[in-house]
Amino acid sequence: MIKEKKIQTLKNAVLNSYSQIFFSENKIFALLLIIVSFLDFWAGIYGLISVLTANITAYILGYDKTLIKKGAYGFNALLTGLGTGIIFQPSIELTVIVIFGALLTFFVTVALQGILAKYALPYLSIPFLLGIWAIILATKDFTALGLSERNIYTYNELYALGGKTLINIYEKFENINGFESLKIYFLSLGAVFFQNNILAGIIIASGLLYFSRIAFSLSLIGFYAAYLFYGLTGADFSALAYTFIGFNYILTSVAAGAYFVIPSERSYLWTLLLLPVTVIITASLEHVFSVWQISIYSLPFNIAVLLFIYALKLRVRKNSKLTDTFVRQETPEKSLYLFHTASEEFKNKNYFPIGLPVKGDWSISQAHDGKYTHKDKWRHAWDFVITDEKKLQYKNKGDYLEDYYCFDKPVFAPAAGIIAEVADGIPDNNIGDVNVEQNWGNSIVIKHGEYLYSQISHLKEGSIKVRKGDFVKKGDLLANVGNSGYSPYPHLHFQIQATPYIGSETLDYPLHNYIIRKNGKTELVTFGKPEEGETTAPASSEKILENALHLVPGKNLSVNLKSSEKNITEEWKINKDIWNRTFITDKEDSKAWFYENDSGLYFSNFTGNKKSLLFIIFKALYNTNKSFYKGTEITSSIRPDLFFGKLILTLQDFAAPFCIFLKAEFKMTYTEKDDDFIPEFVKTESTISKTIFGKVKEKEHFTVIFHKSGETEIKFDNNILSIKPLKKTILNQTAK
Amino acid sequence: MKEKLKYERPIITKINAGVTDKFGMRPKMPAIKEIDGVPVDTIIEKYGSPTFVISEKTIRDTLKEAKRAFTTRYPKVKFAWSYKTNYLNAVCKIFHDEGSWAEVVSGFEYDKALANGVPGNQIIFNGPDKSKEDLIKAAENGSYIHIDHFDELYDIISISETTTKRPKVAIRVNMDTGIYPQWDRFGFNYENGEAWNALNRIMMSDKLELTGLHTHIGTYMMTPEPYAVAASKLAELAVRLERKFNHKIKYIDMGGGFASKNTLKGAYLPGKDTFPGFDKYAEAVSNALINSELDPNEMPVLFLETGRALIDDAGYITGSVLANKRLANGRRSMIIDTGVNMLFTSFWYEHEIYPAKDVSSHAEDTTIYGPLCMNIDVIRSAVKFPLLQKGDKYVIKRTGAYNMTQWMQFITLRPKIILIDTQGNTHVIRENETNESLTSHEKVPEHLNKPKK
Repeated sequence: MIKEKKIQTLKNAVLNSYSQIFFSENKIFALLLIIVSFLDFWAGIYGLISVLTANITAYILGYDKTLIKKGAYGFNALLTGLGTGIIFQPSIELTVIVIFGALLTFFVTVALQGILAKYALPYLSIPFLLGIWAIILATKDFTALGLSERNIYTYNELYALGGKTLINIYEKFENINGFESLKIYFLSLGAVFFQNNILAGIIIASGLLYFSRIAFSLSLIGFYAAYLFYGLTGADFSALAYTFIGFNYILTSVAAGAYFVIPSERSYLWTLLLLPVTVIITASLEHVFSVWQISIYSLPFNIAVLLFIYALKLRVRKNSKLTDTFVRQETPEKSLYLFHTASEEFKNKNYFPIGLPVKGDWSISQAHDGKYTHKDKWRHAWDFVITDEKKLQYKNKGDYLEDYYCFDKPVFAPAAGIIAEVADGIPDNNIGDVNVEQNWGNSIVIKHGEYLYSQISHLKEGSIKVRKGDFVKKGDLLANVGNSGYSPYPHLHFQIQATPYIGSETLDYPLHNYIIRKNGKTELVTFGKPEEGETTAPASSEKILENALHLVPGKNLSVNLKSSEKNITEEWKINKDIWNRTFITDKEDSKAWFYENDSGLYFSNFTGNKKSLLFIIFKALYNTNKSFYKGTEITSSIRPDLFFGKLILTLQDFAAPFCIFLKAEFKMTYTEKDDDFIPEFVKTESTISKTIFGKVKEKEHFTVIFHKSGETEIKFDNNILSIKPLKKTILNQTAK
Repeated sequence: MKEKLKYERPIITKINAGVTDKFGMRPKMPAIKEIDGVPVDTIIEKYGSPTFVISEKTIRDTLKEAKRAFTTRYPKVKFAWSYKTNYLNAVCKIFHDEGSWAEVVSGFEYDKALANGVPGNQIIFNGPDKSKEDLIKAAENGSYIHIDHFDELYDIISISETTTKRPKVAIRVNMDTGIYPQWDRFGFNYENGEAWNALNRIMMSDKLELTGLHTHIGTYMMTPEPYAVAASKLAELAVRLERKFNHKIKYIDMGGGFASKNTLKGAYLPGKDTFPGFDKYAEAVSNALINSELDPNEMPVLFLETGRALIDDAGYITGSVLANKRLANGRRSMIIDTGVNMLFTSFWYEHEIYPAKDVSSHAEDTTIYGPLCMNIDVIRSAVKFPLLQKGDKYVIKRTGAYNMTQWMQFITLRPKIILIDTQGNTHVIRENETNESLTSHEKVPEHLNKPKK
């Protein structure tokens, strides 16, 4: 069993070491690349020896298995092995040198990984460069090695490999007239694997196309951008095809345009700008390196890409049009689709949840960039008041503090934290009067985290119940609303800030999980900024939903599908991976990835069989909030690639950076609850509409009933899917 | 043509120090000429004298004010309309429209709530008198049954063997909250352990679902502190219950008993000054619950069965003066067409009564009698009242609670009740009684029906 696992790990490691060169972990692509590497048999052998050496060393020394499986430790060694194998004649001596070259490359990989990780940068193929240079410079002294003549007598080699047929195929490709540039493109692609023939390039190109349409299109864009720039500057491009240089532009383009950033119009544009820079780097470095008579290999690619990524990371304002890929998927397409659809999950992970500091319905009398006092450095603040049906803040004539509905109302901790500052003892003003000297009035500042504080001001004198240094939980009573400081009438001032002082500059930070009441309708907001005139209240979660949607790793679910013809029972497991990403998985190893917190359950991704029952729960509960307010709607988008056919999706993949015309929109409506406070069940309706250019092509409908017992029923097309948490059976067993 | 000034009979009054107010004016009784914009004269002209008037706007505003007081302090609050306070269908439906549940204390009220469209699982069933049939019905409808005594508990346990649904029950708890007299006739006592005895029995029977704890500490509570005591005692009970049985109750029902702005007989200050306001009650209850050991992430729902404080202000009686006369001791008395049969609450309130037109500042100590031929028919035994003449209209304020449920047909027939909606339109919500409506229930034995020869 353990041995099997080891072999499985090694198999993955080897395959991914090949595909990783193109930032891929695609098995079929890997096989194609292996074939390409064996177009030169001995180079292929030495490449494989290198990969095995590096991966086995990594395994024995105990490096991270997931990284090993990804091929992270193998691909540089592979390149070193291939590069060495292609230059020299096969021999025992060469084998020894290749093994040690792989070891050297591996250690450089580990060292660079450690160094660059601090800057959150990849090591790309720098280990390969250091490895191959070391070997080439050293071999000048190793007289036992003979230079390979294989690349000179191509036909002999091909004949040995595949006889006449292979030569025929080869000739056919070589002799295609016209498309001179395309030939160079294929040659350049083949050069990634040290192959100097068009066939290799064509195989790699088709593998790349199979793996990712975006990566493929970028490989062409990158190549032609450089090609044109060469033409413009008068340099001879065709020479590049023979010196293993042209691929730099292809790899740079794929890396900068799609892998390290989310593919977009901007990333494509930046790629186009980056390529001339790469050409300049290439041209200049070639002169430097010619002194030592060594090739620069992929050095220009490494320099250009590292510079670009590092520059992006140091930006102060991140913008959504050019974003680093922070959760990387198997293909650039998937990263792109997920980026556009899983923003809810990202929001949840990026913000610390700070709620409203009040209970019940409050109105916002002044919001961000308010017209009275929320200006400049203090513009990100809110003023809370209570209004009646006539939008008045007071009863009677409003001449006395007590007439104001919000006066003396309790204020609660918006999130857990430590009291950082308290000011009390400032008298409450009469109506219309203000205190200009101590303008914040009685205030409390709570520290929620590093550089994250909230401030509550204009509190009633003597009402503050906490002291500096106290720890408060969310919802703890802090004080009562008053009219102290610069406050002509009672209201509550609330702001988020980065420093612990009363009156600090405000932070533009959203509030968590509240509702907005608008014309008798309730709108639910997970993270948002209440606006002036809105009536808001903290959202309270529904116990039934809390129970049903609380999916803890280790818990198992019993699933049953009933329809007129079928009755299937399954068991699902809830689990997590080493990055703490949680998922539900079934027997077939399909996975529905989700993120759960106090406010809701958010599915982020689905992998595996789309005919499985697991996919139904993913679709029906894609984005579910734990609060129930009748009539509220939740809408969000799901990755379109889960819902459309291969053909149309291929088109979409090509167009994806510029326009996403395939959409899968999820909508959940909270329809019924048999009782406001002590319900037996809660009912929601979810729909998934698949649209092409905004036109609805298909709709899937699910009625979901959450029962008090913890059972969840999903009804669709005369089927009932019921999901129950599995009770532990240990007690029964011991009783027997 | 200028209207002729009304003749007022001269009176001689002793001058007392302090009769003038701080502006040097003599106190003058204000007139209530209209209710929610509808002139009193119009009401009487259209619907007769007397007429009960209910203001829909006041009901909704008061309930909203009460809700605001509680929901800004406690996460989950639900009001249940106390049917016995006023179970006119129109009134109940206003409360249900605002989201209130129904709190009933008899099979009759239970059926009334159902007929008003309240779902069974939004009815709280209180009271010491629940028949087995009532209990079965309540259990099947999923209503919340508040058990008052052990005999009822035994009944429920026995019916639970046969009902299709697990009866949802709570117990009524009475306790010492520092008030006198302590109410101990409803429910099970907290201090002597009876409450635990009942809870143990319920928890041991797996046929019952214990959903909540209920208390009704008293009536017309003019201070909020006892509610704080009661709330913390119930919270403690809930916490200990969870520790003992690992069972979380769903709600804590604080009952009713909030005072209204009416003045109790013998009170030194007027009721509108002594009424603490919903905010004070809310603060007492919410703080007690929040500061208890209850899990802040799973606080029970707070139920309130407030009746009087929500409806009293919304009710008025408009009527006319029948006669004025001097008593033997020279004291002035006035007879009006509202008697204690209709205004039952005048047994314990000093009801505020106002003229429906402007009057002079001359007022005389007056006894106001009702129209009944009974000595006890006194609406106000002593009130400084201006002179109204026969046929003049008056308005009695704050009559919304209990009168329309406790009134009786006695000597006179009961009048119409009208509702002024939020748009100012009037609607009859209960017709006046006629001889027929009474005699229709009567039966005369055959032998008495024979014509006399």
